[in-house]
Amino acid sequence: MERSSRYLSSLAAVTAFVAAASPASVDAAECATLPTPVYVTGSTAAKPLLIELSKYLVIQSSPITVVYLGQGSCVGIDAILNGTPIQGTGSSAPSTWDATGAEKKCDVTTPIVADVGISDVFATTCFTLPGGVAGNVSDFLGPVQSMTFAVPIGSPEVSISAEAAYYVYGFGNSSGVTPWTDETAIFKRDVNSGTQRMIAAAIGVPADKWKGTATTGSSDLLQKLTMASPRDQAIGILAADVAQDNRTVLKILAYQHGKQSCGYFPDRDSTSNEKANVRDGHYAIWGPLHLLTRLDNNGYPLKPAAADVIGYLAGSKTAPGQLDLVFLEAQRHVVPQCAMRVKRTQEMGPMVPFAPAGACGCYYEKVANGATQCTPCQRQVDCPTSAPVCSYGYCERS
Amino acid sequence: MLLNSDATQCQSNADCARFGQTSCDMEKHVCRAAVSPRVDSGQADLSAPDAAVSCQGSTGCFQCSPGTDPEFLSACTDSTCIPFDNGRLTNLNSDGTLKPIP
Repeated sequence: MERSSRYLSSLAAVTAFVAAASPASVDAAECATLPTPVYVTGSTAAKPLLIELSKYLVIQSSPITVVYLGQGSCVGIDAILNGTPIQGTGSSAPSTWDATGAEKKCDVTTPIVADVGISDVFATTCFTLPGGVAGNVSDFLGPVQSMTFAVPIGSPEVSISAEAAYYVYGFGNSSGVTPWTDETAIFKRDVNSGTQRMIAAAIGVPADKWKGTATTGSSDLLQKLTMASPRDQAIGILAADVAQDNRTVLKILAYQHGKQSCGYFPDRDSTSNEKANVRDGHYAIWGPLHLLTRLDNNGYPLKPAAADVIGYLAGSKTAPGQLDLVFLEAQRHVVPQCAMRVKRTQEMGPMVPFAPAGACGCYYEKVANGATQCTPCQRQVDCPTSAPVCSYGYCERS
Repeated sequence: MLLNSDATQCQSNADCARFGQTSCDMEKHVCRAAVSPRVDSGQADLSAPDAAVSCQGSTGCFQCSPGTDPEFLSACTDSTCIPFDNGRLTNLNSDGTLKPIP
């Protein structure tokens, strides 16, 4: 009885999430008629972060309307590299959000090239680019996203290794890794998904060779995963921001990368939010959000408002009004560059130590977890020699 | 003990292999003798002279300042870790290696 009750609660939670992610279209206007539209397309995993930013941008004295069409990371890259236009009306129309975060649709009846392609993965992960991206395109790095393996809340599984994932997603029914031996309960995304591409690079299964049941996006995978029967055999992949918002219905598995002797969560444990293991390199599957845009002859983004959106997400432009980007990113379970202690320059490439200017790791931990063990400070002299830099109100190592 | 003052001597510990038991000071990009870390702060102290050379903690974790993937992945931490038993893999080659993706 208790189990049934918990299951029904879980069902309600997922239904609410999916409903929020897929609103009905009502009185859709042309997107071009909205205040300063900035067309963004690509990663579906980045949607929650865009919602939070959009809520603030739309109420500024010079409002910006983020017009978003989620199509997968590689489609977002293609939109900028190749100028593939976006279009959509009715149920396939792009989304915008008002100051409360309520989603609305707007129509793009005449195809238009997006201003920003948003991707969880490097352009070279989606396309063969011997010379890198074209000179009239720039790839700005945003907050760090981590990708996870997840199982329904009732599953007894708690961890997975890279080798096990290799067999589960590379062999499906023949994985030989009990209980993940039924492709109808092994949920994947598609070749355009940044989540699948990044995990593919981590476990060594090419993204176009994955076994399992395809899903159309993060919310679809979440729904199928949590409704799977029998639940013990189900497994899926999700960006951490989506997975962590749904901890009542699923479990993120600890991930043990090749050569590691133990599996880690993105966070210090299964209930915290500070992404300690992403920030210090214990959790391997992560990468920066990529914000691609086309440049003018002087090297600036073609649309100034697009440059603003990119600047806020990349942390290079002071946020408007009362917007606390570190707080917002902590809420959305992504990590600002200023909170990282490692960095990468290629997909799942080698990690190197990183000491960001204006470090915010302590503050990030405070707003993500509600507490930090760092020493609070107002000035440099308040800090010990072991953490001598006063930044964001806390003493940082550098 | 500072082994070389060339400011571009190393980018990672691997670059210091030619000097024997040394590691790369990631801020100054020079190779320094690997030493035991301070145990009071939990932070590695690679500047301390003439100390023991092991960076391996009692549990096998890496307790100096990490600079390479294996070091980051195995660095000492207070985070929860849950091992996955690769003995559960039943579809390996007879020599224990992974089969190629079909």
